[in-house]
Amino acid sequence: MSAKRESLFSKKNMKLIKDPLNDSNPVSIQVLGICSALAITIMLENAFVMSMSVLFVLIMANVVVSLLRNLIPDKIRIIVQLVIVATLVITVDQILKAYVYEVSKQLSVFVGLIITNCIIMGRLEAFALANKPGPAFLDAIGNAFGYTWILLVVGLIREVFGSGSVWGISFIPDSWLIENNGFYEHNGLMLLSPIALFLVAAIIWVQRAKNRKLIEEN
Amino acid sequence: MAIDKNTTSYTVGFAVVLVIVCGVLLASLASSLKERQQANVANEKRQFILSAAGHATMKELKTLKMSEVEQIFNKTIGQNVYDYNGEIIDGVEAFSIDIVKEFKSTKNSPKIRKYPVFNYQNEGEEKFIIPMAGNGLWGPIWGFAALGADRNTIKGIVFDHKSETPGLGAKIAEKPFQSLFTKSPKMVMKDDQYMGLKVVKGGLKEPNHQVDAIAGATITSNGVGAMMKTVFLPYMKAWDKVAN
Repeated sequence: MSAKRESLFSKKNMKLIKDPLNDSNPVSIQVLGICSALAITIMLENAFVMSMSVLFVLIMANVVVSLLRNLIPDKIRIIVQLVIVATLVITVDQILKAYVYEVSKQLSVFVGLIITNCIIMGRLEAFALANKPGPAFLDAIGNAFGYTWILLVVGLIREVFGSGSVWGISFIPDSWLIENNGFYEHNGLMLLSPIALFLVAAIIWVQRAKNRKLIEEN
Repeated sequence: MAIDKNTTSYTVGFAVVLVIVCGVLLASLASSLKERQQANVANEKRQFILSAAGHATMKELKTLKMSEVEQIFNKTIGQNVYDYNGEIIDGVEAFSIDIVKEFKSTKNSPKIRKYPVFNYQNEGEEKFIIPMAGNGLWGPIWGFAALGADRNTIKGIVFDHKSETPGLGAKIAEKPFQSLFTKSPKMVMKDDQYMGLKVVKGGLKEPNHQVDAIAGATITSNGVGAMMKTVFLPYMKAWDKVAN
């Protein structure tokens, strides 16, 4: 250990936050956490609450596992990680049910499924187990926001075209709708999960076209 | 380091301590939030009943505080519980019956089921709100149907579900489907005979007793149909008794 303590916000540590936003984005580059990205991005609000839940679970899990990294027995480390993540997820689920009941109903089973979100187990295994709590905290923030911005973009597009609203506030007047003798109809495809796959694919396409580092040689 | 992490006793000890700590944390959290969660569920149920009764739309009710909803509910809604033969069961509060659980626990024996009903009375208007429960594609579906003072015509309806497919089966919880029940008169009696309501595909042969199904959500639609086919019958028996 070096005598001089490394600053939490050193260049190396800031990379932990920045990289997952673009170069090593958990969703678009590592293609993790896709299941929830498809399922809960029908509306922006759901995507946001899901992202914040993942942010909370990932930060707490990363820090706790990092603190315990010298104590966790190697033989049962995966199970220990699972127990910690499951505890945090149930905490989030209970709090959502008590304070934002509507949203918790919308997210239904997917909050529980944060336990199986590969981003979380991936970061615990790959980073938290081998690093100090500070960097683990930053790594969690970076990855959670990498996940968040993809979810928000997909959620925004799906809500605008699928329900004609943003954050639940409708901007298409009812009189425009075909069922009220208007000319507009919401795109039902946007409400189905597969469209999220296309949207994520489109994001990957744009990202790879813009970011030279990600272009593979052959 | 002094401790050897690879011994079996250390591993077992670590696991035990971890599980106890997590267990205590979760148990205390769950019990401290329980009251709030139950209040949310009860509040939503009141909103459903009031919106089925046509007192206000779900959107309007959601802007109200919990205490305001409860106040309106207590002012306008009376309650009764019937048995299968239409006799009133004393000492049971209709609101406290969880209709999904009640239907599930008496799945094959409708005769021992309790049938709660809510009477809405406001400004000379009277409606009877009947809770329903059944199965959709992925999980339970439920709802409340309001019959008019004639105890025959549907005046309002709400449905909800646990896990139907968004954009398909989940449409039962949305206004366009629910308004099908009130746009044209839907009746549960035909020539003094109990008829129920059916959810059908491909055009309505008896427009007063049938409702269009949701395209792409056959099983959920059938679930709604099955739920509505027989649910009103015990109430009809009860009301016949009062009339005679």
